[in-house]
Amino acid sequence: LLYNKIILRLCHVTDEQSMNTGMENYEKKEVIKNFKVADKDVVKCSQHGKLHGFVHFSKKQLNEKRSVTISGIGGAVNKAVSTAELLKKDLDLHQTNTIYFVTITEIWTPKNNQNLQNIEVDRKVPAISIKLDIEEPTEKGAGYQPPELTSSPDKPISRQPKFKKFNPKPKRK
Amino acid sequence: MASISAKSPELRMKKNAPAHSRGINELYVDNTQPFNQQLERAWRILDEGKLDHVLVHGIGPAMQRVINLALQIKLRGNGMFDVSATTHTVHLHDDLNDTDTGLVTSQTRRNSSISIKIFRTLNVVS
Repeated sequence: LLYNKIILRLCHVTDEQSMNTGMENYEKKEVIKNFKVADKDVVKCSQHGKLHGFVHFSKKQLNEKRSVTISGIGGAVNKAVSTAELLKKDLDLHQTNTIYFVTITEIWTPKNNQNLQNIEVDRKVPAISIKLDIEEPTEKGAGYQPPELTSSPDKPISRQPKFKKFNPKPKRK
Repeated sequence: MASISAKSPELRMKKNAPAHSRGINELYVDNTQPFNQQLERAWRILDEGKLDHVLVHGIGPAMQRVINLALQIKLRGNGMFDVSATTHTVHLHDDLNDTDTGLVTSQTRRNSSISIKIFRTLNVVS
């Protein structure tokens, strides 16, 4: 009951009747994501997606446009960073990292037509956006990270990277 | 790891902590510790210690928490602080103890890590 009251106070509910009832009388009706939907060229990682799928798509983008942007929100931050690290393993890439908050609004409505107000909750979720370039960028911001020096200095930096063809496993019948 | 125990149940894995540098202004964030305490610790290093910057590190699932911590401090500072993030790959070495034969072998895993530098800016918002 104390936990429910804390939630109601955080949501700035002023109605006394709503303050005395618990969250069990409410249900989540709508979730509004207050951020721009990413372009088709951006690799948007999901928490439960497969890493090799993200890596394959980002290698295709690198081949065509010589730069790729990888983004991840919430639990997908881990996947986004892992795809960037896998790409950096084979090639020397220039990296630019930006971290930011994404606000998500949830609207909770009362169940069973009770005389209660709607509740709006604002949540801030951490997110990361990683930009990888083959060529050195002209403007280097705060999140710039140069390619790491490898142990063998004779490693050539290829102008046109050649990637292995991705062959997915055949589906079981 | 589930794959190792499924193939050979007599192998016991011991995870070793990764080698890391220890500095006064370095903070390692974990998912097991309370978030508010970690946030206060980072804020105290910047505010009371009068140091130039704080380095916050996190491995694997703790990366989300590290980003949250850095951005919360930036909001609290009202323009006094700025953030700069870098990502790395960390090699983790595990010891595998064979309980039947007594042999000790090792394996190397890779994990992603993030380090965020929270530093003072020259501009002060009035």
